Amino acid sequence: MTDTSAPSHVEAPVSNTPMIVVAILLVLGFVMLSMLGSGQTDRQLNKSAIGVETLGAWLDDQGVDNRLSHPRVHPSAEQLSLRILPLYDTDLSAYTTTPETRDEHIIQDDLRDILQRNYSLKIQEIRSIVLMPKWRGGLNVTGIAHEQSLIPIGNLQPLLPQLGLHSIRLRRSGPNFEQLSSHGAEIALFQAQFFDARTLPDTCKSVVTFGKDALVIACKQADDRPVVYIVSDPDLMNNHGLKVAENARFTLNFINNLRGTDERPVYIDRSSQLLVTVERPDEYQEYERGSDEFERFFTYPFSLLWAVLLIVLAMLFWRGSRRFGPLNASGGPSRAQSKRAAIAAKARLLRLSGNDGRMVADFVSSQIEDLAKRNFGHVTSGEAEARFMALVARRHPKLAKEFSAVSDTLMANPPEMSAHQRHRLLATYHSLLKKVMEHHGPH
Amino acid sequence: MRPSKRLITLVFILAAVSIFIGLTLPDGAGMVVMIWGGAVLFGLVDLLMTPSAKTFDLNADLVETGFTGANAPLNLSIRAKKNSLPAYLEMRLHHGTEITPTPAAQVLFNAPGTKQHQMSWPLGLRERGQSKLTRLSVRFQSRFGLFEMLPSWPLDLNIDIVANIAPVLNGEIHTQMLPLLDGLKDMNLRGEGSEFHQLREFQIGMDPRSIDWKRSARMRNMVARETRAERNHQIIICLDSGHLMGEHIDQLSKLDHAINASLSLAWAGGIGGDNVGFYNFDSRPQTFIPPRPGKRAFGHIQRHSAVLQQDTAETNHTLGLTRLASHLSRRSLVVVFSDFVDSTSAELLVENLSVMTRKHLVLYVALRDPDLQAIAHPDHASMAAVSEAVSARQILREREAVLDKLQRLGILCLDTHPKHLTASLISRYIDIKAQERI
Repeated sequence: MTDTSAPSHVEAPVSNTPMIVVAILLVLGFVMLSMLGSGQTDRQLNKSAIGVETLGAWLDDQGVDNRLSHPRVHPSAEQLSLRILPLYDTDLSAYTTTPETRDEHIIQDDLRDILQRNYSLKIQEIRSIVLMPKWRGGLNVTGIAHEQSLIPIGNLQPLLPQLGLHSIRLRRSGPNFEQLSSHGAEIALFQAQFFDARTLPDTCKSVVTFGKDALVIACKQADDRPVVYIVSDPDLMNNHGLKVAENARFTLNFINNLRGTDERPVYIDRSSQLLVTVERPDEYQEYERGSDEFERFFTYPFSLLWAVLLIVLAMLFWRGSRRFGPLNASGGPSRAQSKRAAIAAKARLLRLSGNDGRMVADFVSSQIEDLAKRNFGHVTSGEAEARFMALVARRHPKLAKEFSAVSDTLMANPPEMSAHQRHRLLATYHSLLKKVMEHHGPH
Repeated sequence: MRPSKRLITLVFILAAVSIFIGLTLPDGAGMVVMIWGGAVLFGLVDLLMTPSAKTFDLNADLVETGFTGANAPLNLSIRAKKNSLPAYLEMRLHHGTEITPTPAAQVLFNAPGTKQHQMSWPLGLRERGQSKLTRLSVRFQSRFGLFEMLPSWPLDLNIDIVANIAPVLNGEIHTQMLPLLDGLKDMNLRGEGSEFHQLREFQIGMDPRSIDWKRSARMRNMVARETRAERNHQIIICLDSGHLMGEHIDQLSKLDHAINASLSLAWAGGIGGDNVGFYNFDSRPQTFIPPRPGKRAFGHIQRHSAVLQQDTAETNHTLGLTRLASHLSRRSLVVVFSDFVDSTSAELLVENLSVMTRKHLVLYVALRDPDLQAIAHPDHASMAAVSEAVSARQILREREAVLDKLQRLGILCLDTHPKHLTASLISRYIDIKAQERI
């Protein structure tokens, strides 16, 4: 056909590069998916019974400006009045393992890790209300506020010194609602969790007291650092607790009380990362930038590297800029190629249809028919094979017997014949066909 | 001139050495400068010892006219006015798309001290039209192989590529027509030729039925009637120049194969004493050259076919063949060169040829695709080859079915390999004449 077209049976060497690229992309895809998955878990926690998503909506409803934290939004600390930081970590110095089974989810204490350093920086940036952890992951999984879903008091002990509450003790009431009145609202808490007011350190004082216990305490840090308010029971402000009694009213009054006349928004911090930006003018240092800095790149041995690089580039550019002879003619898609492409596509469909046996039977049958035509002229297809076999048998009985047996088997296409057997028989048929053609002419 | 791969490799090695020195020796700058200076000196010496291309004298000669499908030799002579030619010379041509040099790059190996080299470079002529060679590029290595010298010379050689009438010029057609020209005496077939030619003295071995008894009695000697094939028939060469005829087989398009065969047939028609006409059509009817005595017709057809190009649109057989039928008032031999893809697209062709065959004798000429045949008969037995063979065979079967249908309708078919097209066509023409089928 055309000189530009290559023979169809010559297959180009298969390159592994595309597969490697695909594998890399797949791995990257899975890594990103897993990252997305972790973000999904975080969002589920925020929307769960022990999350604080509702608090933002409630404050909005009451006309209190607030901002929900977002991983890609970094507000300035100067623009915020108060931070509300729920904790879901019982040990700020340890990393939790990701639960795999449902049981592991139920008994999981640490639902969101936060680093000690991050916690310290967060409460140093602006005044903060920190909600202590109380419930396990079981509450989210089962939806039941059972006693078994509570984090054991003992498990919370490592957290207290990390929050700067060294001698303090936590107490938890029984499976009933504790009610108290504060800030003009009736508070009700199920399985209430309190600080023992008698064990408060000197730096802390009770803000909301319930008998001998403290529900909210205010702790001083260093002189220039803001006060941090620690709420012993997160049910006071979380999604399911806000709906109980007048907890929502209390929360609103408490926050308004803390803000006073400050109109800046409240920041509901649902992230363990440091998302708030703080300007630290004391760390700013002005450097003198002169030509000396730039000249250092051209002193020895850098000068040598640049010189060598330039020489190499110049040589490569020189070689690339000069061409020997005309441009090679581009072999555009010709009709011959389109015909070959059509044949290849049809062949591919034949293979994909999974009827290799019938395909081989058709191939063998038509080849024998062709041979018969060469010898006898036009004959009907059924008769052609028999006549040709008879002709071969007269001249070469042994060859005819073998050839006939193999071709008959291939044309019969028995269902029990495996692909391997078919392939082997096809190879045998091909070698026998060559012998037959030696005696009875080409196709 | 450009740096050779050898020089590029050397530069990379020197760069690596320089960086190593720069990183390990605090005062190695001098050493690096010496190394690079040595390399530059080596390059200069290499250039000085290399023969300059300006001292070469080049002569090129090309025939003015060539036939499609044939090779035209480019005669080249390169001579060194000073010193000798380089040991290894590679040459490439800047040429039009109609030309394919074989091989694309010519390599000359010269023995040491060779001053002149002459060669003939075959140029394959693949398409009709005017083509030109514009430049000859040469490449040879410098003395130490650090540089590739790339001189080039303008050529400005033109060649007119015309339809292949070599069988006409070399007498092949004439030889093939001889049995027909010499009448009964040399014809192998019996009963052919009904036109009276002359009376001859009866010789032993002649057919007794050819004896003219009345004239023998009058002349008192045995004389026999010598007949010859009938003359002055009309032959119409009908060429489809639609997009399917643009397919290339054996480096030439089907249209070029058809034109070559048409011209041979026109010449044969002239020898056979018939009138030859020409008609071509694609999506619309095109030129019609009325039948005229063969050798005069040959010139007209040759001139017209020189500028004939295939259309990119699909052929309209109905329009084309109907228009042809309206031009023909007398029974003629219509030789149709056309192509089809499958039985569906061939339906219109079959229908229109069947209409034409009621009044005329139609010879349909199709070209076999050897590549398709090769795919249908693979030389190895892999499943991929088998599936492709089955697929190709379906196309061939459809083709056979169409040709069978044409034959059943009384249309003569000639399905042949492009290499044998001219000979087969002339042979078929002789048969038709001998059998007085027109």
